[in-house]
Amino acid sequence: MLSICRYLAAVAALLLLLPDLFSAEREKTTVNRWGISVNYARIADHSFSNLQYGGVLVGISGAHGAFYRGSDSWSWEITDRIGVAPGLVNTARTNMLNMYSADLGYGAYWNTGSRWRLRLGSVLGCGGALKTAPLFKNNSVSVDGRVMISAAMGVSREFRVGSSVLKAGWSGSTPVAGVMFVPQDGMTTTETVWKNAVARSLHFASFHNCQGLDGALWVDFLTGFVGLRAAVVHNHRWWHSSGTQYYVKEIGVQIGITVALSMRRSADAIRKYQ
Amino acid sequence: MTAGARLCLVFSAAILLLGGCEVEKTFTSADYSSVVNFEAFWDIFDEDYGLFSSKYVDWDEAHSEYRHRLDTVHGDEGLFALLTEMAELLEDGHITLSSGNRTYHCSSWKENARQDFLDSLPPKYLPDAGYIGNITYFGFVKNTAVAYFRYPDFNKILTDYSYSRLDAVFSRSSAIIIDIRGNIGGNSTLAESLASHFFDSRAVVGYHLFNNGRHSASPVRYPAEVIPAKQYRWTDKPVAVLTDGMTYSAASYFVLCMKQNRRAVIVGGTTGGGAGLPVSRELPNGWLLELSSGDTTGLDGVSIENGIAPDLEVHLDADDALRGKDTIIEAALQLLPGSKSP
Repeated sequence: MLSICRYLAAVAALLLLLPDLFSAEREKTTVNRWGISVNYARIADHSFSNLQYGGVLVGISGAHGAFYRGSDSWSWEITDRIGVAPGLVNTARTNMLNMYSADLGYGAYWNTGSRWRLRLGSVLGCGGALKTAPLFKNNSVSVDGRVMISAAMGVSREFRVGSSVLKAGWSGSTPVAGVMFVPQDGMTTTETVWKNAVARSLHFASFHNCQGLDGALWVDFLTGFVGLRAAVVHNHRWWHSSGTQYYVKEIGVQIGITVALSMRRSADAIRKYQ
Repeated sequence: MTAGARLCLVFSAAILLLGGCEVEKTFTSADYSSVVNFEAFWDIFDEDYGLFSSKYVDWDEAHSEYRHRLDTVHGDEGLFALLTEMAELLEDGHITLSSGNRTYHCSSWKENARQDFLDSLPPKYLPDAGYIGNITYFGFVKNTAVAYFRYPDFNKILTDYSYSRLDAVFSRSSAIIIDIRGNIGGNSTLAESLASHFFDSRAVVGYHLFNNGRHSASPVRYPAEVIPAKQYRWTDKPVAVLTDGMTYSAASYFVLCMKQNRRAVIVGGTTGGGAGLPVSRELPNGWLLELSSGDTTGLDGVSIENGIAPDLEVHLDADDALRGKDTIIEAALQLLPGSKSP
């Protein structure tokens, strides 16, 4: 029932956004944000074991976006993140994994509001992780990957602090549909190939078997042509189908910097772009 | 509809979109229950063990017997002893179980293995031996044009530089002896890599078979292929591969490869076998398990788990050894050209 509600909500949101597709021209400036985050990550990955592994994940992320030409409501954004989590330890404290992850996404958003800004959209993303278990023999490396469409939203409030601007907000996304390759039954990627089990490791997802909420509660301090960001990051992705149980949960802090590609009116561009 | 109303509606829709995370299972916590870990151990073998067809062990019967005894064992130590006793039924040297402070290696597999190698003998044949690391060495056999190469561990990587040093000797030799007696295996890729220097065309040398889960009717089969090395090939040289009962796993696989080389002859004892490619698994209590995930057969479909017979069976003679002679090297020299030339 909840899945149907979410689906109807997505359709309703799209219909309501259509009238804003075409609107006034505004100067287009690409806004770039780079950040570094330190998160506590917990993963459950059937390719190595059923046990949860936990530890520190360091991520470097970027977001690059602008309003579409011909619109001051519709914007696009490319996001990327590289994460490294050396020495994730299982709950029995007997084994260790190293994880190296990469994510890339393209999002289209509808933006509205002035001091209160609301942003809604969808993201087409792909990503994956390489995991190594040094204590494992012959099957010490595994890879998973996914292509997802996610629904995204963000809400923010702007405050004036002298000649500068302080913005606080939350932005995040939740998976809608996609496909994921994740080895299961304790096998790694190589084993799935050996055993002709690749098809068994491909999982199509929609509301019923994939949930999650990736996001950040952030504060931007905008001054001149640069913005400084501090954020609390929370990521939570959960897949379950046909015996597969897979999740990644992260919580941590991020610091970042935002600059507009064109220095002219850049503070204004950053402020409006969110 | 006003902009404000529209904003409210869109916001409400978004809230609905973001809601709805379902209740998570708690399977990811370590589970120390004896029953859970016993069943997981049995299941892992049932689904992933690749050598049941060579072992003649009724795994269902083993479950009945040991599950019954599980009620009488106490604590981690008792469970560890029970699981390892059950694993011992399979007599497979690739099976290990590690609980952090205890490690089990299956021992029954080498009880009857015959060792035909003494560390002290080969160096007596090599007045000018060159070393790669501290245990791998090579050189010309004294008073012959035959090159000798001792490779005791397929965990030791031979780099391009190592191969170039071997090439400096092998390319000037009339024949080559590869001594892998006592080599208990390691990385089968390294075995294949060494073999690739003795092939001038791609060759299927056998098959790898993998258990495809308990629901599968038959295993998945792949050809085991040797692809010729791009440089340092010694395909025009006769080769003798020296083996004994302690030649295991990847070393046995190397013998399987060389069996398909028309210039190679296998001299010594039947290898110890070891056909399974070991992989690791984790029990719910975190114990690490290694087991053979597959089987390797020759072109005739016969598993190499129980060893590969040599072309010429020779064993180390105690009297020869006392006189400083290695019976198996001597037998190989008799077969190879150039053993009498300086």
